[in-house]
Amino acid sequence: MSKKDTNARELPALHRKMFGMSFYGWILMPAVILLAFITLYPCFWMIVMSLLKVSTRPGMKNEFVGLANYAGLFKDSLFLQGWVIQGKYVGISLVVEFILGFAIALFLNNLKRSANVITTIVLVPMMIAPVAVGFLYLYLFNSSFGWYYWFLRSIGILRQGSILGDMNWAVAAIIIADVWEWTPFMALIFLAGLKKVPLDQLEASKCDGAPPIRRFFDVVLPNMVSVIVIGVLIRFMDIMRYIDTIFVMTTGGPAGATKTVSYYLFDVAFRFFDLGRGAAHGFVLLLVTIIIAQAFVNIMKKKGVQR
Amino acid sequence: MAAKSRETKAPRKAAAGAQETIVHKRTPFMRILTVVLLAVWIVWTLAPLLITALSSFKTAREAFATPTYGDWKGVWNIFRFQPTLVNFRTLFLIEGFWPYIWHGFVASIGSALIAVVMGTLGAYGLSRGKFKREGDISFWIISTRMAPAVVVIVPLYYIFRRIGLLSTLPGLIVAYTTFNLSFSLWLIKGFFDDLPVEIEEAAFVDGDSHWAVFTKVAVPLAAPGIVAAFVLCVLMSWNDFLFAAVIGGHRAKTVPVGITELRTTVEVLWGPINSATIILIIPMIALGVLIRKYLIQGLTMGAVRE
Repeated sequence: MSKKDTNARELPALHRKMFGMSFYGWILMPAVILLAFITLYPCFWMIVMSLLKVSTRPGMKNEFVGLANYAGLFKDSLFLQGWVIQGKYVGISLVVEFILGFAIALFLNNLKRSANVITTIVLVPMMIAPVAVGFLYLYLFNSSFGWYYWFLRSIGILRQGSILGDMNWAVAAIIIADVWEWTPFMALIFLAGLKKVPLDQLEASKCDGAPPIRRFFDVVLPNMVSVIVIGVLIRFMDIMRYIDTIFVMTTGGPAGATKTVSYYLFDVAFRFFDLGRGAAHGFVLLLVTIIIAQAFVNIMKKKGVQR
Repeated sequence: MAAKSRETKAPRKAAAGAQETIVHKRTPFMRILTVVLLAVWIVWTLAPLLITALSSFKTAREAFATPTYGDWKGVWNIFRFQPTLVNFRTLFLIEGFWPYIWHGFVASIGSALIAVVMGTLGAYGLSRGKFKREGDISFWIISTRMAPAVVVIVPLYYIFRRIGLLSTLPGLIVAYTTFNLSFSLWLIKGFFDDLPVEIEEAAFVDGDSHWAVFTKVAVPLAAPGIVAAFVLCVLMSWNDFLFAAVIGGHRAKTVPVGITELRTTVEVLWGPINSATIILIIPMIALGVLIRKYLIQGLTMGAVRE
């Protein structure tokens, strides 16, 4: 509500009403109406659909089934297992991206002139379509001619078999692809945060004789709480959204080892064409995403207040 | 605004250099460590792109020439080849890739235009106007961007099937607008918020109408933000796979969908796949570098600035 402070200086004439609304109201209208049509209306339909058995062909009648779609979800072992896999995928990716991103940001912050060139090189993966990232790694991990596969065999980490055909390696592979694409994003956000850490506080703590580690935890980290919240939150939302790399690299396999909840939703809705079930699935996924995101924000806020 | 931030940044940077950077002291050891680690990171970032880009100009035999395990000199095989355009020829002449590029181009530009025009209008209204439930409107707009795409797509598919927008370019444009509009509105609003209201008030007092103030004062001042929003909308739409696969269907295929179809159950056409990947990513890298300065602000919807 910081807006109230500036309002005092504004001209009342600017907010004069024309046909019942101010100029600003009128130009906001088209966007609001369109947005309502393309987001609220589908959202409403999703809830309705989740209570129906939607016919596979247009024109045929839908059957009302109550909460059967939801009940079916919780009896579906693939759905429940999907959460475990999604948890692993999201959790490990986020932790790795966070640590690597922070490290790179610290090192980039050390540079002076070359920093600009290097950040431009480093951010290239972010522009690339997730589908393309999937194909890049599908090619590199191929067991007969992939260069990364060759590298892993040559240094002896991998003895035999294939990467994308092994249940554990396949999960690692999709995590590697995600880390490759999105660590730069974390690094750039953290770099922006590091640049805003007040230098006088750093100097003060240095004069007090605090060792670098203490300085990092007492001065740098508290100043970066908001940046960290934003970075992790956006990454979390996006990693829940995208199934493109999984679709390309493993199509959920081998033996369902990479079938995350988001990916399974795609299967249910557009491979088995059970749209009612898909809507119920989507609704649960949406609720969980919102709850986790909200919980994360609350925790970080509390931490921020405590310091 | 840009000039001001540059001014404040410059002395800060100088101070950092004179004193020290945040965590590390400037010792020779730290310097070497920094250089080595960043070099490793750059190699890790560029290697997949380089290998794929070179492979797209190789014949199958050259592209599949990995040496025996442990033969480190064999790494040079990556660079040993006779450049050929055969993969690109297959891609365009046999697989018929032109329409996919055209569809992707039309859909992403079309959606970005709608999103940016409506977004600019809405952003200005939301930034300057006084509304009773402003907080609620803002929250609603920002929350639509956060909903997982997989979730929106199920009801959207159903609605589009009923009204006949499935498998059409206009349908795809509308589908892309679901994520582009709230995104561009919110991003551009941040740029309008940064402008001092006094300039607009002065123009208004001088007798310009609301509309003239908006088009002649506010929009030109926020132009960098509007361009950045447009570019990011194009980027997100061009790169999208899910909406194109589900809503675009057979008649509005875009490049990402086209690529996945080069991998059939019978064989994987690696040559054309690699060249299509290069075609898919090169324009977007160029666009990204172009708006480099606003990239972080854009991708975090204005929450973080460099």
